[in-house]
Amino acid sequence: MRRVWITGAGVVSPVGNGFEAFADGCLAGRSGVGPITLFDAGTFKHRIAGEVRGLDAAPLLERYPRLSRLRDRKVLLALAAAEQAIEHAGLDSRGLAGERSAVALGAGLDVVLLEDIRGRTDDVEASVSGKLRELLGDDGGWERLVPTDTASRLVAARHGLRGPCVTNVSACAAGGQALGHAFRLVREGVVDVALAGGADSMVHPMGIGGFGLLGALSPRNEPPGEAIRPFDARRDGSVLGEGAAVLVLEDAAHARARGARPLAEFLGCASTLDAHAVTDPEPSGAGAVLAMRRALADAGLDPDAVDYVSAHGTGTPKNDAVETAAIREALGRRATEIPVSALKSMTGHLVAASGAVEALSCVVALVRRAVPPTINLTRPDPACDLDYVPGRARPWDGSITLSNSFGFGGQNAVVVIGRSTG
Amino acid sequence: MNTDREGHTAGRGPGTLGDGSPAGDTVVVTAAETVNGLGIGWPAVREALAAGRDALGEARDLAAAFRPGTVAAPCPPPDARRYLGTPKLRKLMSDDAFLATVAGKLAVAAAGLSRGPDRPIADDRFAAFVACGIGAAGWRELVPVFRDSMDDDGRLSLARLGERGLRRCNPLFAFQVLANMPLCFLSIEESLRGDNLTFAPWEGGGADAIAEAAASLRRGDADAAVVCGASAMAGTQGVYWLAEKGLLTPPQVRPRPLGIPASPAAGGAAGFHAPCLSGIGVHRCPSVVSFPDPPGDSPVAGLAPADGAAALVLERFDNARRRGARPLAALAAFARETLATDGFAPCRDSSVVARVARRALERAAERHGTDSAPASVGAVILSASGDPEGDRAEASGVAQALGGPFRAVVPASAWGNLFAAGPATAVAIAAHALAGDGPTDDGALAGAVLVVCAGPGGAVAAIVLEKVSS
Repeated sequence: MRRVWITGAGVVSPVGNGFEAFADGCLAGRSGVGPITLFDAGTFKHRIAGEVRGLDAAPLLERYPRLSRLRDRKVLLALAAAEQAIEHAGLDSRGLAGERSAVALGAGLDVVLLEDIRGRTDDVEASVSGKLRELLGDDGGWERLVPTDTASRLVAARHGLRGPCVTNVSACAAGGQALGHAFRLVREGVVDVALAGGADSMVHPMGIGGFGLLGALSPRNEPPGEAIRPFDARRDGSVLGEGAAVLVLEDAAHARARGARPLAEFLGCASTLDAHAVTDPEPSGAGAVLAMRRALADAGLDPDAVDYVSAHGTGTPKNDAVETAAIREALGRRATEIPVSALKSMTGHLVAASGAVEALSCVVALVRRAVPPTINLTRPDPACDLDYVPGRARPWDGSITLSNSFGFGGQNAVVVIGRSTG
Repeated sequence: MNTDREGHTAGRGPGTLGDGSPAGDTVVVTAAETVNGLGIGWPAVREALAAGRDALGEARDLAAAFRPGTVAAPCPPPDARRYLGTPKLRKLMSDDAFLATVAGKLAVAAAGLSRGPDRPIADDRFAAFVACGIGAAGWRELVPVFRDSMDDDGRLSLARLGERGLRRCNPLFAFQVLANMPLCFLSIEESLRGDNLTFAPWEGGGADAIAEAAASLRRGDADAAVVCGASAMAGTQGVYWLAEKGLLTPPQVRPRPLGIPASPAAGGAAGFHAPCLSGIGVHRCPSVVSFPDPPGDSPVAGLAPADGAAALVLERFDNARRRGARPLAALAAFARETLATDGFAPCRDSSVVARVARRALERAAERHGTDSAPASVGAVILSASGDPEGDRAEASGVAQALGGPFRAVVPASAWGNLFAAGPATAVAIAAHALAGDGPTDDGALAGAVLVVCAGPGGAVAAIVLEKVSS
């Protein structure tokens, strides 16, 4: 079986852009959540989000001219992370071009564009139809509906990747699943290199509005940085965010041959289904337990080998209690001996990107020898009784990490990332 | 015997057992169902094919108003009370989620694996791999939201959306937009708790779902897998998007990919070239299309968006045999390559198609311990997406791989373009044809079937299906 190294990483997130800035942000314990600036949410019930700030789009527009026509922020974020990752790994198009390279990205949902809708209030259906007819005749230079595969397709086209070009749409599990899928493509010899991760931006009117209607979001708008409180007794919902992370997964022999060094080693993955309800996790956490156990088995590891868990940790009352019980069940005694933290406490919920960004936080832990904290955890919940690293990052010298991603609808993805033995 | 994830045999040796049946680790199709404009379930679709019907009509929803005359293949909605275990779930479902769930449930039932205490496969060993399209949410549900969000000038106001409009929205509307819901609803209805992935949105995603399901089974991560493809592009969002990209046929113009007409009156073979294959009636089929020689008619550029879903149940042969299931066909090999562009054209390079097809055939041959392609490819199912240059590259590439003319089946000419649902639909047709379950009684198709999957995004995949000895 081939070994799979992580030889590069790119990231844009509410806590930092680029691997080093992201690592600093993760370990600083500061919230990246603030008032929404990407649209006027003044009358919305939920007015805060974890936005990506300070991203210079100009270089991306030069490399990807089509980007200037796309009204879909997650594509921009994905391309930014992918370009960083390629550079971070010391690769370029010459090294990536051909059938032995793949791209697998988790992507969020279709964006319904509202800005162009205009018409008579007494016959909105006719007005919408009329507007659509008008837009077809004059596109205004925009592509209004951007299919979910756009980012992976643009990356493949620019760099000449001719292996699998995959778009995973497993909601909150998409980033984790895309990483796992790419890992298997490399481990099983289909390709030598894969760019894998996820990207999403839910910071648009129907994203914030729609998920707010589900009751999944915290109603606290002030102070923004304290709204999402994973594992805290006062947790009352998540906060949406945006971001992207792309990891370069590479056959170890291939990496050695070009003189690349690993950041970490990708060891295993698994996905399961709750088959319970689209709205809530399965109360026993059985699907999550099975995913963790299978991921460890895939990596050839026992639960006792695990040194850190990056929790899904959404800050919703149900998820955090179920996940705590699932971690206990899957890892047994080990669950109480190791740190478990929730990056979402700082970034917000990045949905299709979250699995990839949180897997990258495991790489950060391995590289910086410190685990990120769970912030806003000040009042412990008896139902959440693990060591969540409250408040501050902690020095740590472990070797094996587990990253959980549990999606709306009951998809569970777990990846195992370890310190590379070189 | 060990095979890798795409059909390579580890080492070299026969891919069949001494009795002529496949090796135990061969992945076989034990059920295949289709739901589209021709009918709900394979028997209905088969009957429609035999009768020479096609599914082409006018696009649905708002599309009929903003682009009149759009030729599409909408699927009449199945009765939720008949096809869902929990009919009230329908109101949470997008159209593609509903079609996927119906097709998946039909396939699971046809395989004898419906949920329940007597199911011979544990829930957590039953996997699901789903590919779905874009834009399947119901826009009509948003009309009240828009109505209460307009300002005095008739412009949508975000301020009013936040104040009033969102209150008119179905609180669970988000579930219609989330693209993983087709898989999730199917898993809930059939208690599927095993390995899974969700792909989107074109033919490449549909092919990946099949490949990854087969890989999961070969790894031993699951005992059975449902593979489902679903797309509902014949409505508002699908038609708008395809029109914006210039991918539709002109209004009132029916698609004629590769010059193959849908209508019997226009000279099609029983209105549909699938009967050449699925009808088993290759001998009776009056017009077999050969490439690279073009058919008589010139192609019409553009496609007809369709609603539809198909679902396969895949198992390792040893598992199917152990529980007494009759395989329809074996998935002998898979190959793929991507020639992505920053636009939406399919692969227009025939050498890529040829390379992918050749590779799949070689992998299938390896399983039999030979160096050459299967001696008999009885038919080839083409995607034919309506891009004339891409379609010609697809057909020409297959001709290069096979070394000459071949018998083609072009489902898109009869039920429009199913995008992510296309690969599973094509494999379903092929599996039934190989099993002798087509619309005529001429017996099973001989040889292998090559399924080529190509479409927007530039992915090209080839799947080889073979007959399974009983």
